[in-house]
Amino acid sequence: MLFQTWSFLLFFAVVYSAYLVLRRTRLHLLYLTAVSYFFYGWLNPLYPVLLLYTTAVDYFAVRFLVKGTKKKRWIVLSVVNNMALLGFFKYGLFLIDNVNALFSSLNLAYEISAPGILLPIGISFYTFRSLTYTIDCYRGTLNREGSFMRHAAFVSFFPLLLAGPIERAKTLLPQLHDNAPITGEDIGDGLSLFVVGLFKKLALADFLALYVNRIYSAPGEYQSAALIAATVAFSWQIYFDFSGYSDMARGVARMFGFRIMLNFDNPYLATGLGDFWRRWHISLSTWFRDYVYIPLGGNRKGAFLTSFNIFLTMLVSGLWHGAAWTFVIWGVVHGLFAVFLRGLEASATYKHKVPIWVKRAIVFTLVSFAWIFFKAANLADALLIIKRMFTSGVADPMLPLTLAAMVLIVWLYQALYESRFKLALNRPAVRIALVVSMILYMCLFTGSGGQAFIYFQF
Amino acid sequence: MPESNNTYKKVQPSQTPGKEVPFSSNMVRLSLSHWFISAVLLVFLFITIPLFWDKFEPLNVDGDSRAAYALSQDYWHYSRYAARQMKKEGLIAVMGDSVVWGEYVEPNGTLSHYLNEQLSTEHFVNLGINGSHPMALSGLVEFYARAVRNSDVLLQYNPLWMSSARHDLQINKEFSFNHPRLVPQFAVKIPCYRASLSEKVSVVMDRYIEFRSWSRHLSITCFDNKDFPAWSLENAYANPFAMNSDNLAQKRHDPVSWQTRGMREQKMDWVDLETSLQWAAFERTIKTLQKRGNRVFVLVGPFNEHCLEPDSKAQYQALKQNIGHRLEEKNVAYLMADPVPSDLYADSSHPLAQGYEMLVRDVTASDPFQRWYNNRSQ
Repeated sequence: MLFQTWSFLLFFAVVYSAYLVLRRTRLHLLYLTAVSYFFYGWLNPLYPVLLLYTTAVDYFAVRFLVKGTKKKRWIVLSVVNNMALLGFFKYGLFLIDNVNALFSSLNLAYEISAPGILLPIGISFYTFRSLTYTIDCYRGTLNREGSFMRHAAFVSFFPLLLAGPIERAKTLLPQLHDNAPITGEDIGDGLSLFVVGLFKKLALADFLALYVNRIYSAPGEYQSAALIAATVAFSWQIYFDFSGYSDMARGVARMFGFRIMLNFDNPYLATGLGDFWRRWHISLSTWFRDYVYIPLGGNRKGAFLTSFNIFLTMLVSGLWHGAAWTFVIWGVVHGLFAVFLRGLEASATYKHKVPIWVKRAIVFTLVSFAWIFFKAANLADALLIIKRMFTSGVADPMLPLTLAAMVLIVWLYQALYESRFKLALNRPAVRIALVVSMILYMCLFTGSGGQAFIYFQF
Repeated sequence: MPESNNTYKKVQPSQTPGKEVPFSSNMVRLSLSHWFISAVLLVFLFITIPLFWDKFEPLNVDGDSRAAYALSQDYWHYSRYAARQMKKEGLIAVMGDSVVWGEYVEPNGTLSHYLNEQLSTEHFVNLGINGSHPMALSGLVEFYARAVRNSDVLLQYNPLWMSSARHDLQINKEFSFNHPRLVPQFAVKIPCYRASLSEKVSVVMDRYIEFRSWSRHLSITCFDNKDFPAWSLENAYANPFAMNSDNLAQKRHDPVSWQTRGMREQKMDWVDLETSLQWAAFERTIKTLQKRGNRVFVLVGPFNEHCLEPDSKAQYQALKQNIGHRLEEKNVAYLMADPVPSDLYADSSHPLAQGYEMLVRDVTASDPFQRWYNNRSQ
């Protein structure tokens, strides 16, 4: 069930009304879990089985971890179980393809047949969310959750189920425990977040997708200007698509009385790659920071190992995003750029003399370049796009003017938001005008709204 | 990873770290009172924009006008056209599928044209819609033809829609048929219609919120029947609000007979009247009209019986009889149109201009029609 569809609005209207009645009763956790499982099962009736399995294994792993003396055994079980699930469903096919390619290159007449596994949507998100519970309990930074139902509600909480944010157990479980009253502010804020997210998805991301897909589906037919325009357009498409989903998820959660972490913070205004990752998919970046980068040693073991740790973390992040070499290369490119920019930022000249807009332009260019590997259908296409960007002619890119204007307006809005003129945006009349304009635009000009979110594939 | 020595406890409801979560990376944050103001503003705009547009966009109608072919799927336009046509008192709406619209004839060769001509009047207006069928007609009448309320209606029924399970929309295999947005979305199960829940809800919203059907009108007239993003991809630098007048041109097929077209006699697997979805929809249409105070006259046919194989023809005669009985039971004035000569048909159900002329001569001379016409509301 996609947030931007009428079926979701129907689902929400029914589920929310009943929740308002049940939320002060003992049934509220059971109800929240049941509707989350229904929401997930709508996509495929088998998905909830896997979700229940993850939930149960992690719940009991922590239970035994707390009671027993061999704590390591139980945390290893939880991590291995979650990674095995991801490995089987997400990387199984990738592995088989590569093994078959290896056999073929060695002239071995043997081929492993593809098992025909369907990747359960959202598995990367809920396994990582569930891991924050087991790892934090193991580290002693989080207390064990005694109620299985509350734990199940935490892992399956439907607004976050399909594409995050990867809210930590230590912030979501206490909210499930508190069951604080839903205020008018929660509803107003939730609606605001939802409408902005919906606008990002329907009006901007889906519009940009049409242009990007046309060019990226046949890169050999387009020249430099179109390929550059499509790459820049994809940078914005993926931002609007994913941050739009996050906003909607946060908005829905907020209307249920839950405050979910900010997941995107105007990332294309970042002045460095470190800054970019503090603004982009924050829930995942901080997950990797806390559970991969810092355990690897972080920046505590000298310049070389710091760079190595950054590089390794980016590589793992690339793999998390998808089972394809393009994602691995995307992670590698980001790792290399991060190390390079880190070196550049160490110099006083770059730090103090280079204007902020140049730094922003550099970061945007590097990030956009890396997105080529993320978006391209395969490695050959990515390399073809890069080659043609620099070697083909400059024909008219035919980028719709209205689309370019809309992206420019959003960028200016964000720049204004991060400037001293920020308060001008805070006037009620401006905010109301913006919301009314966004809703009118969506009612008038957006498409069918059936396009899935990019991050569902991860 | 470090092994922790702390004592594990159950989570206590002690803290709500979420309280400090930053709201967003923008200032678009409305309080409930702001939302109320926005809702009032939106409702005002939703109501006034289509009204304003109605005044602004030209629509000229005259005696022989018909809804533009290219706007057949534009129900906001149809609704506006019907309202413009039925402005005067005492008019008679001629409603039905492309047989009424006049698929193979010019606007001055249609059923309504000849009715006006032979009765020396200007009462009959063509409210047929191209590509329609009884199931779609029921939706059209219910939601987009409110302007015909309390008028007299000549409702044409084309038996073609019962000539096979496919025509009757009874087959289980999904296929694309005309006017899916007019058929019942939830009330009637149509086996070949498999729209998603979201699509169905969207259709229902279109019917009740004029702004939505108007926005579809905008897509059809300004954006080549696409949504705005898809259109602007093909028209990167064009003005989105320059209406494409080519779209509005009426179109028709060549007016040649079915034999010249190469059609042969056909075997038709007529569906049973009792189980027919199309006939049930037609009965619903009659009921809707009657509830609205319309005096209804049903014209069945004129189906091209010349193109039927003998067995099919016999079945068709039986079907016609059944239809007659059903209409009599419901006390509805009707006429079973006799077929016009074979060479005056363009296909299995559409007459050519001369065929319409001949048909109207028969209709106007018939007792049921004369009784209905002479007792019409003034």
